[in-house]
Amino acid sequence: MSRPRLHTGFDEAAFEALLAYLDNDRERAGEKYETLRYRLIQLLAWRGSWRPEELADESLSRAGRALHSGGVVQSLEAYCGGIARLLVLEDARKLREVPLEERHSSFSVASVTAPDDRRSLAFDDCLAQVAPPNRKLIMEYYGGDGGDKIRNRRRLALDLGIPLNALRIRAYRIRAAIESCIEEKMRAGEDR
Amino acid sequence: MDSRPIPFMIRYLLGELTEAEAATFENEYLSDRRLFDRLSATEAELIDAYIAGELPGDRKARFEEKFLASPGQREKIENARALARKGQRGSSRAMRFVLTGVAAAILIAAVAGYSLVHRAGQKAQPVVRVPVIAAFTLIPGQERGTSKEQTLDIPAAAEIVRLDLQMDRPVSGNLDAVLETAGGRKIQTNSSLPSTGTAVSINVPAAKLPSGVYILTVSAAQTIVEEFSFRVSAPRNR
Repeated sequence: MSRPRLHTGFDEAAFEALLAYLDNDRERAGEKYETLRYRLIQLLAWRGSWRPEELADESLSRAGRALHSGGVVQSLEAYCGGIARLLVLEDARKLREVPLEERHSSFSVASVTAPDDRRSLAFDDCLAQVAPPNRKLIMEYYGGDGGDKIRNRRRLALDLGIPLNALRIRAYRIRAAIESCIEEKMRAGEDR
Repeated sequence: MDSRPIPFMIRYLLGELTEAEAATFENEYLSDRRLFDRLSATEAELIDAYIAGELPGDRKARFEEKFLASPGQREKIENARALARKGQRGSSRAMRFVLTGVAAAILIAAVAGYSLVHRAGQKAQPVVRVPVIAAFTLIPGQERGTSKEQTLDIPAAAEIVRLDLQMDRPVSGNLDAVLETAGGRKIQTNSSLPSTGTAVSINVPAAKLPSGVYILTVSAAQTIVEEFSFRVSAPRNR
């Protein structure tokens, strides 16, 4: 990573203060920034936010501004987590302030998705990009159902000589990479 | 350090922890890669359990409240479904190994309380389709029979109606919700709903909400906390 991305609404000075806090080495600071941002997005999604990326950026931006203005931040992660939780509450409060008739006209209907050919094709492409040993692992990890699946996983862990929990994490990381690839392809398709 | 067991993480993901527990846990995983990865892996397996129809009723309802509410979470479900389809196709070609003993699919057991038995010869489960949800926000104190009464126009395609209840003041602890018709016929009861500040959500099958007036009473420890009334308009083509 050459330079971490400056997200919308982020003041340059605040961003620099944040990077300086994260690490003296700019490359490593960028990696730590992206890691924290990703975890904040997940936190916000798990808290039910409908715009987790925006709120994660806002959390980091506020933390950067605090650092830039000389504020004392003992744990950046806890500080950002606290801001993220506040932002979720702020969002909920704002929703309450929207006039009732507007809420009704803007209610959300999740138009979910019958079997999605595009996603399925994207999945196949992304799976093909995974290194063969990892592809084999993920297919075996998710192979079978019920008792078969459980036995497959136990056997896999034995074959690899790792505990089942370590296998779970390894499978998750491969899965997360595939999901990230799928989302990129889906977004690219929407942009066209 | 496996300081947080999987059932705890499932409770977090389903919004069942207290606010203080959740905040403490969040501060931990924000700075602990291993814990964050374990939580993410648990989420992935929770989604798999949902897709496979392995979540018991109350947890399935909570899962839907939490996971079907945001586009990002729904995408995760769609991706998991694609993976499940691929895995099922792959496994039909794979050699099946039969090992003795109880395998350690901790999460599936923790989520579903299922006994882990060999289901030899069982066909692959059909992929469960995610239902279409219509979400509405209800605010308390709307007078019944007046112009202020909240009216829900539930679209014909909706299968589940999610009611986001905005409380006048923060409430803590578990809440109970009873949905009745204005005539007092009980439609649905939800127990031990986790509250997050001033917001509580429940899901109701759309088929249970024909046109009419409804009263939704929220209580904590058998004391009424809030009452919501709303009208469901006459269906257009539902």
